[in-house]
Amino acid sequence: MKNQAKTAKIASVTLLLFTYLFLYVPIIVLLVFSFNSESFPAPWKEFSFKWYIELFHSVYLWESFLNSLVVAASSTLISVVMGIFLIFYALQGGRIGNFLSLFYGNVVIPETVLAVSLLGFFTLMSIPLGLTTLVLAHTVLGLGFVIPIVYAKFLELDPKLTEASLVLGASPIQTFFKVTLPLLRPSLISTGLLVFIISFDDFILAYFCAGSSSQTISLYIMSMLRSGVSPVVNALSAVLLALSTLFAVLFFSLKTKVRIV
Amino acid sequence: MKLKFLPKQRSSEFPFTFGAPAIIWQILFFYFPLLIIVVTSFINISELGEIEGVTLKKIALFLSPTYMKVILSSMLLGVSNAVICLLVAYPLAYFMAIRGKKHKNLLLFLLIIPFWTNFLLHVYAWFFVLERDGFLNTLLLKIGFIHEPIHFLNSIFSIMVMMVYYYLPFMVLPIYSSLERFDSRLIEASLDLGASWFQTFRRIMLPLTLGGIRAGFFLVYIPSFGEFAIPELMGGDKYMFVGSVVSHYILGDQTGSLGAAFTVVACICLLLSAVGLFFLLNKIILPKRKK
Amino acid sequence: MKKLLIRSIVVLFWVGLIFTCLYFPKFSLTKGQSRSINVFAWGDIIDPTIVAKFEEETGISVHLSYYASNEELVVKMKATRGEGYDLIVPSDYAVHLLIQDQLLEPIDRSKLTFWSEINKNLLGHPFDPDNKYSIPLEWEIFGFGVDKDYFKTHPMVSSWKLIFDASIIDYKIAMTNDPIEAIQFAGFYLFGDKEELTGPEALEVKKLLKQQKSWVEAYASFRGDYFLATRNCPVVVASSSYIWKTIRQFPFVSFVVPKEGTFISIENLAIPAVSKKQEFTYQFINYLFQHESVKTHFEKFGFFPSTLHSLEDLKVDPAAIELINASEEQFNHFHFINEIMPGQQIHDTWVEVKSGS
Repeated sequence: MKNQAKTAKIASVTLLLFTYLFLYVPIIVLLVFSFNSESFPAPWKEFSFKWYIELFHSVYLWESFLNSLVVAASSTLISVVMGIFLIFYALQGGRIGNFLSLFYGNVVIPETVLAVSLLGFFTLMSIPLGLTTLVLAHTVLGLGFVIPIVYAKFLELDPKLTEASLVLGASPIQTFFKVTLPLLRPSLISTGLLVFIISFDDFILAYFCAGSSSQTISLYIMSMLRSGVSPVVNALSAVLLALSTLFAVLFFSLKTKVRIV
Repeated sequence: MKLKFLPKQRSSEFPFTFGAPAIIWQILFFYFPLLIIVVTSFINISELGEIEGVTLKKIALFLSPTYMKVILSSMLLGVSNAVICLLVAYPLAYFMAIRGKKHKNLLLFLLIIPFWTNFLLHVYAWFFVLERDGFLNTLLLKIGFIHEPIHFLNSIFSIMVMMVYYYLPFMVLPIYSSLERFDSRLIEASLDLGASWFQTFRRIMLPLTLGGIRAGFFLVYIPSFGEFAIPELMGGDKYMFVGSVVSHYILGDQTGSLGAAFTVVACICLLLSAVGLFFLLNKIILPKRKK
Repeated sequence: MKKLLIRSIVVLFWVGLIFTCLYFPKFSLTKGQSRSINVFAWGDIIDPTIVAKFEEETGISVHLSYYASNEELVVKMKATRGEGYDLIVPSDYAVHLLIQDQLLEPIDRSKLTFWSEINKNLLGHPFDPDNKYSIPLEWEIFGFGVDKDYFKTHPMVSSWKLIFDASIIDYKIAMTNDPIEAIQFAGFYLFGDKEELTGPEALEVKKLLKQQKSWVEAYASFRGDYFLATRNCPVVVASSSYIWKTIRQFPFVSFVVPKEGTFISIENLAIPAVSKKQEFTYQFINYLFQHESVKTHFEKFGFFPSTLHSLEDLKVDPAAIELINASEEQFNHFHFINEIMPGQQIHDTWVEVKSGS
């Protein structure tokens, strides 16, 4: 029995190690080569920051980055706000339960299908493709996360808190702002972060719905990958990885708070 | 949540104003567009853009062996990806949830970080590892394991590597949630009562975590079905999948509605396969009842 | 009843708001007053530094957006009727498609400063017989990027056989990812220059492409130089512009023109008929043909310039000079790419070739 448990433990630790190695070796290699003075496939020559310098001078990169940022921020904002609105309606006794399952499809269908149907919709209604249509598309995705997650959290809230507030004379609106919303804040923020990152990294929806005049960071990287290899992308990866780590840290610090609540 | 002490509202439609946007958005921009592509697949549009009548021609075009083969490839890609992810994710989730209590959060955190970076950059990173004179080959050559560089890239192997790499967190997280709620005393009890490790695993753990396995499986299977960027970049664009065909038609000249038709056909196949896999999973995981 | 009415109004309000935001860009596109033009081009045709210099000198701001294929350009032009673009860069056959749909504005040659310097070989082709609507900007021909070191120990033949003849191929190649090009090349190898393939011929082409797949490392129209540089493929199907760029960084690469003849692609400047900024556009066009711009573009992107006089101080390989100065007769060996099969058949063939095993 003890031997079995011990071998199981060694096996699982080894598996763990290999899995995390698998996940991180490419990233590390990528980072290392971002400092190589020579472009891949040339081997390591000497340490250099030149790709980072080139990165910061690239106008189109910054434009794409800004576009991605704007789209992600907008779609996150819109979907979270709509979620808040819906909770307000629910608080006032609106019957949402039946409609909740309407939102499950967004995350389940393959993104390609969503992209194609939205493109068909835009073409039919002659809506010009651009950042606005992309924000719309990402909001659809965002709603698929925000509504189920936040509503579930809302249902978990102790109804006695709300009732106490109303009994003590606060209006429904005051109750919403002073009681419900603060209680939901951690999950709203963490879901918001999730939607933001999904929108920022999204490729498929941008590929079909962004139109030609708008370039996002994913489309920029894709076009660079299709035309070859450039260490500028390595430098970009390093920067984006640092940003993502920051986001992950934020997300995780919030998650622990949610558990306590 | 029913509120008992809600005073009578002054304007009963005020809250509705706020409840409406989300639902309107969903209907207008999710269900309506889906309806559009379904309808477009069945109607005949003339060159001038006028609707001429109902036709099954477009759908029939894609029921040919050529295109069915593409759909089958995508299904295969999805299933193999899900299966491999499951095999890797389950032990990992088990270790995180039940064994590594202290390091749980750190492990989760490390798992999630790659997930938060743009996946295209990860594809790019794998070029560095799998290239002829990339990291892996250099390492293997140095330790004398091989004498000539192995050709990794632009093959099914490299596609699968990247697919598993990208979709692994999707499989780990639901199983991990499921295992977190799992009472580990059941394992102890089972082992104490004389069952072997394997029996405990097969009869107790697996069936009780079916919910997580199912969620993870479909969270991986369904998006993998529509994947085309990874096969294109990692596979040298040598293979056709549903996503590749769709983007080919949608972005082409005058073939937009054909793209919609193929999407519809592929979706129906996806749905059918998903239902089938659902029952298959249940059958495999749930133990047979002894009479 | 009243409840229903109020709810309907609420719904209409939100729908109206959403659609106003969606259609807003359409209205704001009428910023015709500002000194700016929208240029829609390939990713590697116009250099941002030249654009910056132009903006500085003239005060006209240029907004560049990109497409990855002529199909994309044509689809977008047809969808928006050219609305929102002031200058586009279609390839030869794309010009023809756009002319057919009456989407282009005739060029006013009196506004151009460089017309007399244009290489006459590039004018008067079937896609725009009098060059009424297009100005040739750059051109390139298709051929093979080859690894000279590899062919020191292997026999070399300057022919399409390099990528199609199973008896001499024991290496991997990178093939073009464009179905129209692939079918054209295969058709040319088997049957010579044809307008349209017959049924049996089309089947032969499909068979050849399927067979070819076994020695294809990857289908990549734009990554050919990467495969040469990593020594994965000693032969890469690519256009001259890509290979010329690669040669500069990797001198063991050389460009081979198949002796049976090859295909040319001319990138042209064209003005959408609906553009109201033509005065600014002509200024930009003239700027693109100035010596500095031509020099920068060739050095950066490798396309052959369409004007002959600007070659003196270009760092050009003698082989390239020879091609650029090709006589009219030699030019007749260059064919244009077009669809030699019906459109749907091209799609089906390509899907079959790639998904077959």
